[in-house]
Amino acid sequence: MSERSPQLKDIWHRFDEADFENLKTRAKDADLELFNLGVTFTVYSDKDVIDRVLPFDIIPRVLTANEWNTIDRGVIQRVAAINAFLHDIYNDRHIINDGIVPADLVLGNSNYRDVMVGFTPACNVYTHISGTDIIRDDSGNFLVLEDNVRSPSGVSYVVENRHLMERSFPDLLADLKLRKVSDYGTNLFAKLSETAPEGCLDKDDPQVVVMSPGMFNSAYFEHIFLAREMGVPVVEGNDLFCDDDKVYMKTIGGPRRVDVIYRRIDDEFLDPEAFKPDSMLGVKGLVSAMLKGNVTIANALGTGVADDKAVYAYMPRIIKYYLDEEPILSNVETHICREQDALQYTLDHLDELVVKPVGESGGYGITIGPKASKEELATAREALLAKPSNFIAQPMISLSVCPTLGETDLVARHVDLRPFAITGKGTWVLPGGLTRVALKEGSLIVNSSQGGGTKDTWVLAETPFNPTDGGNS
Amino acid sequence: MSLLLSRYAEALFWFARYIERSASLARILNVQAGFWQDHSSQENWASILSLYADKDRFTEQNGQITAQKVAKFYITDRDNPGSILSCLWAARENARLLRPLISVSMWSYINVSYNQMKSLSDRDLDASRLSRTCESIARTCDAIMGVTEGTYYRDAGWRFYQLGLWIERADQTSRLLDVKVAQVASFNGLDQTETVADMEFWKLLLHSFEAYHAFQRAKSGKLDPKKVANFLMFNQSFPKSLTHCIGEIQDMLNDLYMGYQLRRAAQCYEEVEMLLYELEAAAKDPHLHMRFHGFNDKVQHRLMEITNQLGTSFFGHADWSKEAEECESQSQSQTQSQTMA
Repeated sequence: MSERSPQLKDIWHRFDEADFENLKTRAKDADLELFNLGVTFTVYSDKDVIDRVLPFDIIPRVLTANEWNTIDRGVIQRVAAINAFLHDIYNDRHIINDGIVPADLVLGNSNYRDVMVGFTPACNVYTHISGTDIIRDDSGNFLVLEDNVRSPSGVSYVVENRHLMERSFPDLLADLKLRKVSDYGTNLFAKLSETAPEGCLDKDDPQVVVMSPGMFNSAYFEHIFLAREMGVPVVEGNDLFCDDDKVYMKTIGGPRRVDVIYRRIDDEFLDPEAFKPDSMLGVKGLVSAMLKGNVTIANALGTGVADDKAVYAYMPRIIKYYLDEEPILSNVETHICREQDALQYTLDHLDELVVKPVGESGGYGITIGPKASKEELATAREALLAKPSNFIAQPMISLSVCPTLGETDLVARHVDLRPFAITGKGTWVLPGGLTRVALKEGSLIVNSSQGGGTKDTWVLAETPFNPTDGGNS
Repeated sequence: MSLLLSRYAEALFWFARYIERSASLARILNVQAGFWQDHSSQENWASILSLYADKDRFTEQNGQITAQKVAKFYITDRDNPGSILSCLWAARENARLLRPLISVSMWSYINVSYNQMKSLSDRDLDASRLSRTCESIARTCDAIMGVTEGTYYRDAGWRFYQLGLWIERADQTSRLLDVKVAQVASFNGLDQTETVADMEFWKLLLHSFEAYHAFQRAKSGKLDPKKVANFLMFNQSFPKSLTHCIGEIQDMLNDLYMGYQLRRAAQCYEEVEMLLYELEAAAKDPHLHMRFHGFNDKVQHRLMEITNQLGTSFFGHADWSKEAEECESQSQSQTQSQTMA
């Protein structure tokens, strides 16, 4: 925090004043509250359900109004480019024909969906909900590390973390003018409603549902959260059926039409008729109903091409190509190992680089050169040589750190940020986003599955007094 | 708000049943716990097993019937799907599914209760503690129902919650009466209750229903077996009597049919009317004790039929694809009646 903003000073002063033991006690209470509220991700064993609380760090991450302004504009720009890119690759393929992005990266991508070819979803939106993973480098620049445009999760924690802070630390939050996060559900519902399909019976009041794989999914809490916040049902595959290319849900009054499905299920499981015939989670005929313009599936099918780690490398050029603008948020420097020069460079500097498999998520299969053992480096080298196009390499970025509550004192831990953008007729970005923190000392991996936690993210309002958007309630 | 999803209606229905079942079981065990040392104790613990037709399964797994083993079987045994812990687990899983509909306080109360329940140890089931443990379980269930009553939005789903509650309660009443009365009727007949032990029996029975004081208010005087049985079955104002429970079920179906315009309620309604008719006839029958078991069997059977009918009419257990087109034209009028209700 290099800025000498009086607001920032005020905030850190408040934490300095608070007694450490007192903070610690209240942090414990906060954890217990999360558990009791069931703000958990869920692990199932044979007989029982294990609810785990995603570790929550009570020291917030603070972004100034100016910092947020850059992120906000950058994310909106990126989402616009991604939607244009997706429409193009499923229609005219100008970007391939003009030689900007290699054809096989797109058409040979495992997430490319042939059923989408020639189809244009309502409002031309493919990625209704997206999450952009952003880090900050040594010089304070925000860089995009990864796009998530299939089914990004984590937004429930953003809202719940703020509620928790408000309940646990009302004194620390008093009179602070923060951008609010509580209206995510309202905005999500509005944007999804805007993308109701042609065939919708009542465009002013479309039937929106959240489609979940069910309670056994680790993100089930979030599916419930989203449905609650929007006031719509959470459906599972068995609740829906298709007839005459229309989608119905089973209600106590019989079948009822469904217009917009916010699905939290992967493409391949959506429709056994179109994809995996043995999928128990999906609904037979769903894809056909979508193609007939009778239902909107959000996010659209086949968006995974755009968040592929290999396509990521081309994102600055994709932005320039469609919007004719310079990217507001830069990429992390990326070597595409499918290219001979890049592969050679990567092999030569393996111990300095972070090598990531493309098409993977969750922090698995990543080799962090400077921290890897000789054996790990050898394994990575072998994998690279066996299939270079499977990998990209990036320099080791020293992720920015944030003060975090340690055992005996405040400690510095690495963080990243995932702002969430919702797109209908326009794009809205939830002020702040999910700050993930690597709780292990020195660790750079912030994924919840690998020992990461979360923080509340505070975006300071532009001016101390802003009656329309200043409250934190 | 759109029409209630079938799966939610079913989950509300079963949520209520599991909580009510847990509460009922906790009360029965509690009354029993008070007589732990009693000479007739062994037989009474065994009778709890007959109540839920668990005798064979129990002996197979646990061998000889002892107080400690039966208490464990019905309270903390997760291998017994009928144990309180299993019921509360099932209730919680239904509640988890219902989270888009239920209040945060309702969910978190259930969540906390289940976690407390899970931490019960064998020591909590000792002779010295069993009663207190059962009492606290019953109180927990009461509180869950209380927070539901206090926070659940009164939509059509509320009616399904209530249907579950009253059907389960009627079922529990019928079962408990059936088993308990059979226990004495088999050697005494319903007319003679001269011995002190018999008097104790009828008192215990009333306590199992938490009906002792209500009975005294309504029928002060001697514990006449017939009066007790009739009170527990047919008293309009006693909230666990068959007549009261079935009346509530009828009211709920009526709400769904009239208030929510759900014509599908008609078949269930017919079943309930038949059951009410049978209850009226039984109440007037001077020889009911002669066919006491047959009557209760029939009641339980009808309750099952009603549950099955709810499955077909509302919970999506039937194939609805043929009705899809029909719904297009109906949807407008349905929406209006929803707003009205």
